[in-house]
Amino acid sequence: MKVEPTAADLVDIARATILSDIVPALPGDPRYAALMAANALAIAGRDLALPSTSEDEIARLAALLDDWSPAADPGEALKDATARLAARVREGRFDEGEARVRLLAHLRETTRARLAVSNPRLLAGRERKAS
Amino acid sequence: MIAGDRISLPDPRARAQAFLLKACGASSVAIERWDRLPGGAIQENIALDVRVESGAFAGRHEWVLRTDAPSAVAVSRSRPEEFRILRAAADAGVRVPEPLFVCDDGEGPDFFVMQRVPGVAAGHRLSKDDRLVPDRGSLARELGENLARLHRVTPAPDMDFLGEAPADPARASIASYRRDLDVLSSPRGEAWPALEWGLAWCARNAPGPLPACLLHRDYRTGNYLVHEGRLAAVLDWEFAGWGDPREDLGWMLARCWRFARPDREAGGIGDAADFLAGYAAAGGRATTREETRYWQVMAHLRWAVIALQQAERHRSGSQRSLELALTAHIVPDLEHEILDLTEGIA
Repeated sequence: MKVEPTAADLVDIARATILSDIVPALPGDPRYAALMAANALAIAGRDLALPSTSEDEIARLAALLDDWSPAADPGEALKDATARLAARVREGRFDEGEARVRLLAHLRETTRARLAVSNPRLLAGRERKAS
Repeated sequence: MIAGDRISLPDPRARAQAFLLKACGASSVAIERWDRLPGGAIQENIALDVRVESGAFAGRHEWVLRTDAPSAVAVSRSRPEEFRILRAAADAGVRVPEPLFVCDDGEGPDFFVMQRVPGVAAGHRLSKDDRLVPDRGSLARELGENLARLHRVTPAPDMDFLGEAPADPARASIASYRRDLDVLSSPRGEAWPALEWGLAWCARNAPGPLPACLLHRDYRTGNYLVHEGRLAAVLDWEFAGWGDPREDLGWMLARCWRFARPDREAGGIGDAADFLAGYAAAGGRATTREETRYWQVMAHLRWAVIALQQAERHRSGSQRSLELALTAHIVPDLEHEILDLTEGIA
């Protein structure tokens, strides 16, 4: 049994403490550094809340890469499939038609998930703009 | 400090003083202020207040000394080269801090001295605060006019340190970003399908090349000074080089440089229409919506590659830094914008 609270809770309270007790006391450059540290902890907290690899993303990649069979380890499978997809996009195999539509649907979903971790505020702004 | 005394210590301030004494042809030079200016991880800017006795520069001056930071890495242009670029821009009528003296005596890092121009550069302030920019249309037009004047500079033998102009800059950039992604991929086998999509789209839609001209390559809000609502000077010339003029237009219009105001297409400070009208009024080429869209995609691809390279400096351990680490987290937003632009949504 690990000692509670563990990673997610500690990251969250460390971030809150930087913002409430440290940032207001700092001028200029140190203040900027403290805000960056708080932002890094916010990203880390969102990242910790997710599984290390997305089964959804692997399934979408498998559908795009018709002749591909995933490795047993999900992390390896995701990396391998992403690299294969990138190479095929570069070859122009998703330039037109149905392939293009399916690729873009996948890229949208993946980018949305990446942005939800890196900067959910920007994602919300973009989704307001789109609707 | 005694006039004319040659100091042998590698003290930068004493070295600058001795250099300025000679460069100004003065009987004495006193550096009355020597303050490091904030920002500048690669270059260091030092504010100088200087009193010069006799000679062509007799009087009091507010100058900036620009040199390499101690932690400088992969500097794209040397300070003497940047000085010559600044000179060429000033001669073309571009608003820049007047370049004055360059020092490459080998007794320390190269530096140059330029006029200190008053004004605000901070992007979040210029995009938000209407008191700093009371007439946004006018500033956007000035930025366009100023860029058109820069783009009149064409490849010439005295600028051969900039290398040969690429015959087809768009295709050269696509090939170069692909090589960069391959290098970034090699340590851990990562890949970036959304960026590859953007590159494939750019390869498919590449426009015919235009005659090469001098580009700033970082012409955006944050890199120019605004004083009393007007464009005072364009800074940070270390990425300048020959290329397609539309590259600079796309960079200024890219969503990633709009700070607090993503709705204002020209650097968060004004409308694209005003910026492009100023550009055309000063002799710049008229651009279509398709062209600006294309070079906006290229701008986001370029910034994404640079952001990944910066993050890699942290990840590889060569320069551990929170700021570099966080730069990687800009990339998903750039990917999102690339998807919007290539699908015609943005």
